[in-house]
Amino acid sequence: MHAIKNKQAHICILVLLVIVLGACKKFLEPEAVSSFDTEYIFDNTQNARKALLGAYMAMAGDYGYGIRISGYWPYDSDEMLKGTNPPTSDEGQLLAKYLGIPSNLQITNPFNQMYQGIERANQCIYNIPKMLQYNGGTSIEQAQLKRMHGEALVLRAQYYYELCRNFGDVPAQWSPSQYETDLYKPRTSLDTIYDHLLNDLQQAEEMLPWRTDVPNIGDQPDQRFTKGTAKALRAKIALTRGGYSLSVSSQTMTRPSDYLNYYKIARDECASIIANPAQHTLFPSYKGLFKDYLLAHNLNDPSGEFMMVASMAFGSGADSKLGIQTGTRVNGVGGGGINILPTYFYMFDSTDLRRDVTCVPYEITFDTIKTGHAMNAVYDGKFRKEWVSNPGYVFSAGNASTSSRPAINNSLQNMQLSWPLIRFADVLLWFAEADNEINNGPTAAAIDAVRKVNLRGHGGSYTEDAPVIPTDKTGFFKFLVKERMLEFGNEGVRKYDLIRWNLLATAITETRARLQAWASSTVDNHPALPAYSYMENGPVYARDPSQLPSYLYFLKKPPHSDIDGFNPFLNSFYKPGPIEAAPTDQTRVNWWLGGSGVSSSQTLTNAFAQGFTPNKSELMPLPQTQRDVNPNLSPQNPGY
Amino acid sequence: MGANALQSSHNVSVTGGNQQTTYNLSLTAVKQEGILINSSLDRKNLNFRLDHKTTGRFRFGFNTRYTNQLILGAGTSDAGGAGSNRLRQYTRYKPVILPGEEEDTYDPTLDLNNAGNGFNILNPILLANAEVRKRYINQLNLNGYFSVELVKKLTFRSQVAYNVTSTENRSFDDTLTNNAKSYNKQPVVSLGNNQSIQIVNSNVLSYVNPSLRGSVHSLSVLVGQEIQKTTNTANSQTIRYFPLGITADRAFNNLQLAAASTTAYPQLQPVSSQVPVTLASFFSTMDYNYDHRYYAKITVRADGSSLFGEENKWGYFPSGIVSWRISGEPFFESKWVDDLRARFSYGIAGNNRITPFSYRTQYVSPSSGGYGLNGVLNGVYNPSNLGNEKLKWESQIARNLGFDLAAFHDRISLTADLYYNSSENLLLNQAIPSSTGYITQFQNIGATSNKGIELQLSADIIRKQDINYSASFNISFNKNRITSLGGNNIILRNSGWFSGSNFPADYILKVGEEVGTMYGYINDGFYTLDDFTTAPYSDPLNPGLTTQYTLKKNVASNAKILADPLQPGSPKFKDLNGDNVVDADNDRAIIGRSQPKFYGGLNQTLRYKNFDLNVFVNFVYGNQVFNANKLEYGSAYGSEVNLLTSANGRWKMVDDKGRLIQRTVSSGGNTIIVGADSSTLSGINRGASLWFPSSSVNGFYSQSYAVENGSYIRINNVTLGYNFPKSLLSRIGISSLRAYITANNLATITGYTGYDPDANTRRSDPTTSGVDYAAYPRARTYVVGLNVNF
Repeated sequence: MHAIKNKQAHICILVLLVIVLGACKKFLEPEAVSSFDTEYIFDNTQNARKALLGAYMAMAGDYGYGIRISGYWPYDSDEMLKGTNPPTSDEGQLLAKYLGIPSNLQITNPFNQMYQGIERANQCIYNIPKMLQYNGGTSIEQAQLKRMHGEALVLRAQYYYELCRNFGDVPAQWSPSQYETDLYKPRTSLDTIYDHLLNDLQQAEEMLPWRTDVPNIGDQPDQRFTKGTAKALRAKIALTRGGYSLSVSSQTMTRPSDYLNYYKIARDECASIIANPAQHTLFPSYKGLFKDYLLAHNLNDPSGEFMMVASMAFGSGADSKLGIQTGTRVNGVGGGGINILPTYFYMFDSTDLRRDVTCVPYEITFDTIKTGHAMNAVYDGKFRKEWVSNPGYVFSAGNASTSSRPAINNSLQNMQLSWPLIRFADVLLWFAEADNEINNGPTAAAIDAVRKVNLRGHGGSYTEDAPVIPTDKTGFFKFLVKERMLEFGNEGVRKYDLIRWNLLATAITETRARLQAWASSTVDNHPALPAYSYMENGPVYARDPSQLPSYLYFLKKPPHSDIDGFNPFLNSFYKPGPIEAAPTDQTRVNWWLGGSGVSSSQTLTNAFAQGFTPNKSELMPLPQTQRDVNPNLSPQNPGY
Repeated sequence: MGANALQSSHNVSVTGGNQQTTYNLSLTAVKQEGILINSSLDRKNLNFRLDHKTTGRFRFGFNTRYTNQLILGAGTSDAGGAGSNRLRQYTRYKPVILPGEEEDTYDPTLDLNNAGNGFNILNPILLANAEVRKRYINQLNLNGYFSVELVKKLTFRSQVAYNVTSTENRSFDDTLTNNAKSYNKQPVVSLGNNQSIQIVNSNVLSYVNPSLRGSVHSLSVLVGQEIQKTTNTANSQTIRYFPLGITADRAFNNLQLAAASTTAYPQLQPVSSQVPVTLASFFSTMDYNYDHRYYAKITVRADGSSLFGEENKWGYFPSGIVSWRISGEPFFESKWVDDLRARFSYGIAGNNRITPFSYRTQYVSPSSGGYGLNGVLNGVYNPSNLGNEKLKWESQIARNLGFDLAAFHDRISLTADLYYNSSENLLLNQAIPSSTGYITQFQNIGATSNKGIELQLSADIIRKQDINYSASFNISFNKNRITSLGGNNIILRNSGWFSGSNFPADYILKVGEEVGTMYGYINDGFYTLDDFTTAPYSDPLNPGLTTQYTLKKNVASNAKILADPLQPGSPKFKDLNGDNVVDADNDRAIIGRSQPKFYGGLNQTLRYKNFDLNVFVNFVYGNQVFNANKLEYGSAYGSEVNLLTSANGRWKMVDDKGRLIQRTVSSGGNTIIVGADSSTLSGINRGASLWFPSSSVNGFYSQSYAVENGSYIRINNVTLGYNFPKSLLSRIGISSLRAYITANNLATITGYTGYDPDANTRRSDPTTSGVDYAAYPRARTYVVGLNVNF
């Protein structure tokens, strides 16, 4: 009896123990309701798409293409310079002036954000193909998931490409960090990374639909990537892989001996895009592309010219500062962050419509009055405030000298402007460049590609003589070097083009000499401009500075109401003009004139690429913050 | 700042009961004005306690505590980086009121010149008025227990506690603030509610037998179990675009006045979250003593925490203490020793202070942001943290050998402790390479040890009828050492005073060194004219500047670490490896240690008749403070900023007549240094003691100049009291009445140049202790008080 009771008691205790331990296990695993594990996210298409959009998001915001990478990193070059205040406490300007040091404040966060994008893309690349719906879902689900897989590959390629062209060899990681054993990765050779990306993109091409096929798989036409994006980025990366880069080990600019293989990749990719004009072609109006689409918050141009953009919208980490610190002033507000070099202005011929889209030699006051600016204060125009629409913004600094409105939007930070990464014009010019290199001279197709871009830049027909496109290899290349400059000013392309051609040092030296000639000009003497050796020179009538005006005059109150349709200056940019003081209803500004004393022209000239050092400045320093964290992030880039 | 501020504190308590039931009710009300304008604290406290003992074997009790607090004001800083520093406004705004200005005049030009990164200088009075912060805290603690004596000496006790803390934060940023500036210069309101609910239940069975079967063996055994669940629920909302001119209270109470959301001026979505944390424990303690001479107590506990992954939830923490009362031994005979005891303890304790769910990689939907497609913001999921499945309990092993002595009829008591403590598997939110896609990850990073001695000596020096004088003195010596950092030898840390992730390291963890070791460049004065070669220079644009200065080839250059052009008067750092270049890889070193060599206090009480006087002095010796205020406020970073007086001794580039005598000139892509001839420059700078302040962030890099001796002696508290004679009071029905006056923080003797050598503003990270940045200055307070007992 006693023994049985004891046994029962033992069983009771045992059962109780099991219950307690089971309850305990459950008690110690409370459900996370405000955060989600990977299984939850990659369970259905909708959540997976949100994770993919997270990978896209790393392109946006202040540390993405919102300002740092689009507005600070690509300067100074032979087209524009960022800021004229050397030496300065503005870290962005220091970087643009090649005066960045490893602890510069504008490097770390974008560097980190690119890797954030890579990790998010890695998660998608790893998890999406494992989803049940990837091979077993409806045909729509399968197509959507394959597209998302492809997009993630393209995103990862873009982030690595951005890191490599700015920092050289960087740590590379191809799977999500939770599956990596070593988090302290050393620098991987840039060639290895690029080769990996070229393979990835080839795969991505197969997974992505063409632009016009997007609705067929139930997706909206929007700024998500398509087959054309993957192909164009592959061409872009191939040209960079086949171009020059600053080697961290040899500390010189080098290019691989088999570079033509990469040019072939670029040519073939471009050719296959060009062969599909229903997908991507040139939008007929250069101005319209920016004014009616990009600045009207519409990136779905009917021609599909915007092949790849970093898309922006109002939201923290999702917006851009494009057009805020840069561009010209409107009613006293903002602008002035980026200067158009006088030497760049005169590379355009007088009928090239791209000049007045890219360069703004005036500011706007009282909503409609254009107030002319001196040559040292010509600002970039592709992201100009006064063209922003849908919605547009009204500006006023509240200062009676520039506007009769009370202060409004004078500290606006964001206008939701997207950043174009690849346009179809790129594809045409890359095709021409690769073709010229491979065939030791341009084929008819290459010449035609360049002509298309130039012709569109002139509005579809030439009112002056059409430019003569050289047919020899060197001449054609020099023509391209110039054409890309005219086509892509302000789009963050130039510096990186010059680097892959190994022309950045030359370009800076020659541009500086030309700027010096401008800055030392007096009313009586406009010294000759040294010619460019690395690219075709500007129009014949702009090569001799003695034929350029010392001053420009404009009416204080012009009788125009259409602010878009006129150039405020009364005399020509291309002919010698008067030098007397302005009549009372006019204002005179310095144009091809350095003046004497510590002039603004001198300041601009001296500020230009101030710290540039060959075989150093082609790369930025690796952020010291990250070298402090990761001792394997060594050595530092040459010269830093 | 620095205004006189009033404080008041009232306390009433009632105690009563009978043999079976006792109760206590107490009410406290505290009001404090801050020394910053618009800051104050208002706290009300209610305590009630009830215990009831039935005639039988049951006991139960109930205890409740309610606190209601209202805190106003933004303070001088929060744990964020430099952008949130408000002490700056008080120290760097122009210190003079110009003709035509009031003390709260708005300077629009200055505001316009301000950098947009939070480093702006604004009239501090205006800013304090523009930033309204209200924090309401309600805390309710309910605690109940019952116990039953199952059989004699065996008691079961069950206890339940329910704690709720609700915090409501209301903030209002008017037009002048950076926040409002980002949103069309219209007022912005943020509302946040946080509720933390904690439920604790413990069940303990205890057996207590002071005398086993009438012997000298005493034994008590306890087994128990406890569960704890804490749920933090938060929701918040930011509402922008309130009409101009609205007051904070009107905005808080009329949220509908904010403009409706439009594409150009969108409102934000509300945000909410809930995070549960659970802890389960089993424990047992055995307490034994033999004849009040030999004591032993052994505890074992197992703690399971939801913060760790499946494999590592449980930690096991045994501890034990043995002691020997030597004075209880029959052989011990002493006339003057009352009590002498030796004890030794060894114990392991656990620490699980990490963010919940750190063991797994997880996605969150960020509170704002997303990706725009066709101009519309789409919600996203982003991975928020890199999970670490290997995370486990940090364990702290304490070993202590102690002696307690009481002598001369308890007039002298001495306690001495020797300890050797070590921590293993230290939990740290470790910076990891950003190439992982994350900046930090919780890791068990290493081990440290602490060795030290603590002494406490108390003595009743005079013990007479009318006069009493007693003193108590304590002193602690501690030596901390990092014994392991996993696979690393060095981990560099950034205290984040300037910026969390965007600034080079200023602290170092190194095996063999102590925690809180500062790391940076070593200052070596400034470059003098002797460091430069001279050449004639002439340019009509720079009349009077006749000499070009070029750094000598054999003088180490700082150009790799400072972006400012190097010139006479530039700060100079030691080139430690002698390669003629100062760089981050080779020329940073240990520049300070924040842990003191020893610290302690002396408390003295003198009573003479009805008067009593208490003086408490404490001291710290041998620690160093990273004075980040000095770096920022000594620099010229920002627009029209005031500088510390140390800048009076700066290298000057302007002569007495205001003429520029030294400058940089750019020519052909090179920057050259030109100036007046060297005798003019050296004449003006004969008394220079400091480099010229930089207008860039260059001055903020970690350097030995910022490190100062933090030793101090402080008269922390002096109280003078008077007890009214009882004979007088009994007539008016008062049992006792005491009046007193107290002065806190009366005086400090220190060589430290900042406000307070005791400041430690990076508390959330133990590895970067000793940073003084924008700390709320310690106020000197006087208290006049009255204690009445009826």
